[in-house]
Amino acid sequence: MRLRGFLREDLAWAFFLLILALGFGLVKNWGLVSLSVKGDLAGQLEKMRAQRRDREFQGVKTINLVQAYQLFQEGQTLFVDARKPEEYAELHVSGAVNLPPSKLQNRDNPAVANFPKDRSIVVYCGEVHCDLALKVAEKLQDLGFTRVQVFLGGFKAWDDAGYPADTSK
Amino acid sequence: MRVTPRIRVSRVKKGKRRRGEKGKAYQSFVVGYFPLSPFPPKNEKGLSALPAKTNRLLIRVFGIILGGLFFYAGLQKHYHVYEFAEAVLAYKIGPVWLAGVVAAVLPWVELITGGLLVAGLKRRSCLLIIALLMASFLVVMLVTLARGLNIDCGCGLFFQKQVGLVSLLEDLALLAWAGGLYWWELKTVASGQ
Repeated sequence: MRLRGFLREDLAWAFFLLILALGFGLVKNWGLVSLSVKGDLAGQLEKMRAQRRDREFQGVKTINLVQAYQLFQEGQTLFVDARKPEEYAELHVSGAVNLPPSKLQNRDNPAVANFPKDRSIVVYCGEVHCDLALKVAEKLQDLGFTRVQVFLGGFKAWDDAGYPADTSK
Repeated sequence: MRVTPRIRVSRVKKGKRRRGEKGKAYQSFVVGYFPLSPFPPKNEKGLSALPAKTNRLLIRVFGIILGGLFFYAGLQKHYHVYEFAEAVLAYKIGPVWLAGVVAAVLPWVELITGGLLVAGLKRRSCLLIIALLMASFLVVMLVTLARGLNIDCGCGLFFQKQVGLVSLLEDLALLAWAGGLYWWELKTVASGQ
C-alpha cells in the first residue's frame, strides 16, 4: 500500500514535469513549432541543409538525377557508392565501386590509387539526407582527383526511377 | 580454578563466531555486488543489503551520472534543434507537424529531468519519465528497423550513430538503469531506510 502511494505521487509529479517541459519547449521553440504546424518545416529544413552543405563542402560540384543518368549512359564515368559494404552488396548502381569514407583513410589504397586523376567520377550515397557522398567527394578531391561530382539524390532516387542496378549477393 | 577456563573458552568461541559472521556478510557483499550495476545486493526481505548511508550515496551517484547524460543530450538537441527536427522527421512516424512539436519539446524534457536528477530534486519522477522515454524510443527504433530505414538515431549523445544494434543496446541499458534505479529508490524510501 505504501509503495502504491509513493508511485501515485511520483506519477503526479512526472505528469507535472512533462507539462512544464511542454510549456518551455513550445515557448522557446515557437518558430519551429509554427513552421511545422503551417506545413513549411520540410521546405525550411531543405533550405537549411543546402546552406550547411554549401558552407561545409565548398567546391564540391553536385548534379541531379537527369545529369547522373546522362553520364551513366555515356559510359565514361566511374560511379562511386559511399555507403556501407553491406548496403552496397544488397543493391547499387550498375558498375559502381564501393568506397565508404573508412576506405579512403589510406592514401595508397589500391581502390583509388589505380584510377587516373582526371577520370570523371560521380559519388552517391543512400538518399538526399546523407552527407557521406559529399565527404567522400571532398576526400577524393584532396587525393588529387579533378573531376569529382556528387549525385545528391542518392541510390533511393536512382532506384525509384527504375535505372539499372546490380546486386553483389 | 574451575570457573576461569570455562570463561576463557566461551570468550574465544564468541569471538570466533563474530568474526565468522562478519566474514560471511563481507563475502556476500563482495560476491553479490557488481559496482556498475544499478541493482544492489539484496537481503532476505528483498531490500538493499548495503548499509543505509552507502545505499543513499550510491542512489545519488547513479542518479547524478544518468541525469548528467540526459542533461548533456538535451543541451545538444536544444542548441541544434533544427538538425534534431530533421532527425525526427527522418523516422517518418506520424504527421510532419508532430515531428516539429516533438523536436521542440523533447530537448526540454531531457533538460528538466536531467537537471533535476543532478540537483537531487523529484528524482523518482524524473526516473519514471526517463524510463518512459527510453521505452517509447525502443519501440520507435524497432519499428524503424523493421521498416528497413537506415537513418541517424538523433540520440544526441557523444557521437552520431545510425539506428541499429548499438543504439538499441544503448537504449536498453539506459532503460534498465532508469527503471532499476527507480525501483531501488522506491523500495529504499518505502522501507524507511
